[in-house]
Amino acid sequence: MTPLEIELAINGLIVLINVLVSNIKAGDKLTEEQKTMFLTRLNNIQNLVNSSKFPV
Amino acid sequence: MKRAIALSLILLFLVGCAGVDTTLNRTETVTVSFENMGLLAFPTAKAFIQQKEVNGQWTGDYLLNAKRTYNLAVDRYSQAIDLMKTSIKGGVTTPSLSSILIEVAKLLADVTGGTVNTSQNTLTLPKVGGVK
Repeated sequence: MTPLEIELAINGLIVLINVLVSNIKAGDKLTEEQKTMFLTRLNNIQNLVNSSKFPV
Repeated sequence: MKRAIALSLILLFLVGCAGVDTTLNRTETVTVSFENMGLLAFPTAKAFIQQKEVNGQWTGDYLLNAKRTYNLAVDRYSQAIDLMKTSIKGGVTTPSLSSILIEVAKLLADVTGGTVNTSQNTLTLPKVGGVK
């Protein structure tokens, strides 16, 4: 996958998650495999953003 | 007659130069939806702050405040992701994810001079090198 394709894929994932989050019981609709995949990708994004903080 | 043609050519050249200058002076921006802030808005905002620092346009307390505001936006966005993870695990998410994302967008807009459109859930930021 190209960087753009990866970015688009992740962006699509975040949009999906945002839709799911609007439903309190969203977690119940996901398989364990899907949950693991989403959580892994969210952790990656979270780590990426957290590591961008300025040292002040 | 030749002089008139030469003057016309010079005039056209000058108009062309003015057109180029106008293009270069416009502000280039990037607009992202709230959901995509993690991958697009944060790198754009950080690059913007770093450019201001390197150019010497922002210094001292002003620069420090900008960096602290950025870091606060990072912390809040991290909380938003925690809410997403909680939801995926089947838990109840409060406060609302959207309110935190709006807060993050406003923080990034404040620090870069960007704008937030809450009706369309978008954040518009200036791009590095986009302002001449």
